[in-house]
Amino acid sequence: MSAVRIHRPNYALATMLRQAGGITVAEAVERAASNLEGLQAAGGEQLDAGLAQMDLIFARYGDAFDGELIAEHYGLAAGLIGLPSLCGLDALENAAHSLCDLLDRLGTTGRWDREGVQVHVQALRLLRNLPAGTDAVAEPVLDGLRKVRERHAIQSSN
Amino acid sequence: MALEPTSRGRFNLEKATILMLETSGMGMDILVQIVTGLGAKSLHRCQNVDEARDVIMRNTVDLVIADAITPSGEGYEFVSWLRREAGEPNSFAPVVVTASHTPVTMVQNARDCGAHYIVKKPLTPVVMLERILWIARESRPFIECDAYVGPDRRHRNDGPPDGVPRRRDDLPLEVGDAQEPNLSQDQVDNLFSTRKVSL
Repeated sequence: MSAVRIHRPNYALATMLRQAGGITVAEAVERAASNLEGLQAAGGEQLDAGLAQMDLIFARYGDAFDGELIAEHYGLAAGLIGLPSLCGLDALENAAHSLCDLLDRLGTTGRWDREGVQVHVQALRLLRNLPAGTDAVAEPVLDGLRKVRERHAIQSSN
Repeated sequence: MALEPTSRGRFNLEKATILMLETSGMGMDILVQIVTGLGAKSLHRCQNVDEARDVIMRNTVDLVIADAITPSGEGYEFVSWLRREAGEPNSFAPVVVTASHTPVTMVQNARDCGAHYIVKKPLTPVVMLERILWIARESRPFIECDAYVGPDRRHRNDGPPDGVPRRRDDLPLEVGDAQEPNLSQDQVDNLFSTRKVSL
């Protein structure tokens, strides 16, 4: 068995955090949240561009499994994570995670489920156009996505 | 314990030098807005692993926030490199990895890369600050061996996971009535008294 070295490094960060001055947790959180609000418009544009790209990718799918296209689609979907929340679209964030889960499962099992992917792509479009905070309207849509994941025995990472 | 967002507790990130690795422009913007909101001033923004390695070799950093870079997982590889090859003191730097989604094939890399925490996107100021404060407070032991270099991963004891059946030989949860009389005080004292033992 190889030798194991166990020690406790001194983190300069721990000392710095305790130094005089600084700000309160409440101030910091509020300031950071306010900073993020300034990114909402740009985030929304990037989200729309990503969804348009996703439509193009879906149009290239055929009836058979295409690992490369699924990987491309997965990369695009993963790149969108975080943008919906920035725009206050939590249901859309949830759906994007669900699509990543599904594409990851399809890519690793070699199975193809065109209908399941299509449901997700359409759900993303639908949820993008719902006003923020309409979770009750979004719930049946998310429930449908959950059923698709269950069909593939996916334990959601979301 | 979760951080209370309305807490009046103070902290100071002004002097900390932070390396941020994020390939997405918007992802970097989000991260920058969060950490500057938390008070950080000295930031190294790296858009790829090569830039991040270069910064590490030329500077001392107090905190690393690295995106996992889905789906390639290059972010995990960067953290492994940092732990094994960057040299002190940066190799011991606190590391938070951010991940949009972790593919099944990357779960082991995520677990073994040597990060203190992996934070799932979307990032929020509260969660990011919470993880930074946890790292500073807990001061986890650092483990170095062939298979792993990084903070001790066994740092929490949450008990058995919910919904997992108990083992067949576990004792029942319910405690029944006593079957024998209680020990007297003398008997208890005798259990703790020092005795000479002949071997």
